[in-house]
Amino acid sequence: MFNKTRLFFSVLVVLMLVIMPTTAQDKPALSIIWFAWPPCDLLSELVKDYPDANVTVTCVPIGEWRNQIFADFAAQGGADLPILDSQFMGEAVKGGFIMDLTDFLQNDLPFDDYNQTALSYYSEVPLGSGSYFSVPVITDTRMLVYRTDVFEANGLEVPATWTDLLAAAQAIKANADDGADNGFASHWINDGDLVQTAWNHVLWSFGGELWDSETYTVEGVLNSEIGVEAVNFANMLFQTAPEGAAAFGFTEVVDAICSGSTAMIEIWYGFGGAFTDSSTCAQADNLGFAVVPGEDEHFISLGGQGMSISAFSQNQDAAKAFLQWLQSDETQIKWVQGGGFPGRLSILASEEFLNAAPYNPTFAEAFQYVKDFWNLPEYAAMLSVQGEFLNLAISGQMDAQEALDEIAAEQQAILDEAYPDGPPSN
Amino acid sequence: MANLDASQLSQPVTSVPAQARPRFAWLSDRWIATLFLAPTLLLLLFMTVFPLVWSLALSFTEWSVTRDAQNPPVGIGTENYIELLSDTRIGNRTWDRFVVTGQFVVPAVTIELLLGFGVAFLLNRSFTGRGVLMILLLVPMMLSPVVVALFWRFMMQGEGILNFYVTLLGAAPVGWLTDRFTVIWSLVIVDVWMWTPFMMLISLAGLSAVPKYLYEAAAVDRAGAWFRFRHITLPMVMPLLLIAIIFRTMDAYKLFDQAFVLLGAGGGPGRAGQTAALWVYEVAFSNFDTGQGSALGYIMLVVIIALANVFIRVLNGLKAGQQ
Repeated sequence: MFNKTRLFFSVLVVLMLVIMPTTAQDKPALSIIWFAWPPCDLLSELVKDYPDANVTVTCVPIGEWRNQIFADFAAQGGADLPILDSQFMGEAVKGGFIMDLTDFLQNDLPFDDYNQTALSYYSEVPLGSGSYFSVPVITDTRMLVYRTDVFEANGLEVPATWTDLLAAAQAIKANADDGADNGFASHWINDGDLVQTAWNHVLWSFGGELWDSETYTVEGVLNSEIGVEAVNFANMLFQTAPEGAAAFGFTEVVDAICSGSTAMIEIWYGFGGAFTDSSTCAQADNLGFAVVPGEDEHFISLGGQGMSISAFSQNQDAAKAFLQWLQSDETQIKWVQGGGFPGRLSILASEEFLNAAPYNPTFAEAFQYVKDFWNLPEYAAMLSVQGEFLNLAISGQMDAQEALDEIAAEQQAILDEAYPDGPPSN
Repeated sequence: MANLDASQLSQPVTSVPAQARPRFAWLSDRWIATLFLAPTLLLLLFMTVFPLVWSLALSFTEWSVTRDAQNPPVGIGTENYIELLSDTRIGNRTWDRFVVTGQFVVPAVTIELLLGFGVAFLLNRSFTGRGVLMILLLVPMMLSPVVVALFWRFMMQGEGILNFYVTLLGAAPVGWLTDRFTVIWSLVIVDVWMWTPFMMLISLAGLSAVPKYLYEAAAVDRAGAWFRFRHITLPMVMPLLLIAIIFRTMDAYKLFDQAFVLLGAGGGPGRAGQTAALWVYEVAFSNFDTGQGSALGYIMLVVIIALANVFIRVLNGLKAGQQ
């Protein structure tokens, strides 16, 4: 009798152990990985409303974002829905780490409603191929944030060109009584792509180029006279920044204007939420927002990313269903009301978006000028070299020509090694 | 017992019945020990030896775990080693990373040794509050290196508290984390703050183990303080100090976490603070040059084994001298 009872309970326990996880997993689990910034926090909140899966969002430091995702890929695991920067896409597609979403985008999502510039940069590999590997989750570019009271005290207008901006920054730095000690700050730290994205659009607007994407040539293109001029210009801007600006990342740039020390900053629209709440940003009531200026030409660094589905995900169908929910009108309106920037044109034009934040009306104009850079598997090595010497040159620790020569030589060597027979044919 | 009759009880026991022999007679103590150790050994083999052998094999290949995920590694002999040790491209000079590591290790360990030994010398006597003071002095060592690096990063920012005091003294602000000639000293400062207590602890253990009668004998011979220190204290403490130096040198040589938090994987401006460990990380886990990263890991391993051997030889020499 005792043995039968014991047997019965043993079987019961085993059955419970087998059944319980199944019951707990009624809904599939989905994971998303992104870098730590306000939109990632917003997404973490938004996914709580998704009824058909338990979705978790991991926000990693930006410097570790790419490394974490690709280390996970190498281990054939990681998040179901990685959010990759446009420059990571080539490497991810070449490695076979993410799913081809062309049919899904064209048949199950409002393909024609997407901002096609954003869609191409974030999703199409190679560019112009018609093969898409991600769904735009946030479109982004850079905005100019300025202190209206300081501008008024100095009789300044919102700068229309980079030269105007420098003149304004120098005037503010020279005036000790206008309410700001420093003129302009941006993230010039050598970390991730921070110094690169802060400087690239200065170069492009001055008429320069990072490389010739047709011939894969860097030498003679990057280290041109225009390139040197753009570096020297950035160094002059740097001199109007607070002490220690060479190590400024996102947080320090936001602090620079919110604390009142600096009159102008330039940062991604995605950080916009940091400037509207006077309880966290002391100068919130004095801030104005504008499109980052141009010079001879007008380009602004492209931000924003698409969400892909990992080739190693065990829940690919659930991931597609989640993307459909995320891209629905209702969810997109919630997204923009919380501070997100949509990839869909109809949402961008909606009243909800335009009224969601004081800087949103400038976004559509700014996005006309976006430009991206290398979308190559060798991106990380190229980026690392550029960051190292650019940070030194902008902070005045290295001659501009010398720095660009070093970058050009090193990047050319990387490209020549990777493509000994010349650029790949698409 | 009730079922046994008297005749059965009276029979002598001539042999042990076969079924009464231990069931696991074949299982000797040696076998049992082996069986108990086997899971741990297998785990060790899987977690340590296999990666070691696999990474050694990869170090002779040209392969990226991300870019070449669809292709097998391609053998290239010793090319990775040759390229790493002879490449003169600015961003790839392995030698520079070892120089940076040396520039950090030598001052950091030296200052930690001198300060740690000095503080231990002062604490090697009884006075009120000695216990509390000891605990307070040991606190930095007990903190997480990441936490330590984070709060030093805040203090070392351009407008941080360190520069506040620097400017109070009338000097210009220092680019602790932004000046290529200063960042290595920032790493040294943080490391010294954190690890001097370790040197102090080992030194104190050595000092308290010196037999008192030696000092008494020296006092009888009217030996001076310097003589006592030079000929009694130092030789007696030296073997322990050397062990502390070995530990700290090996640890400092591998410096990653503090440098990563303070300066990022790139090692700050112009890679001026990029130690060898950060360099391995960049090659292997940022550029994902897996073959080259493995080779670099082995170069680091050879260097640290060589260094450890030098220290151990010196230590053995000291011990032989004492005997």
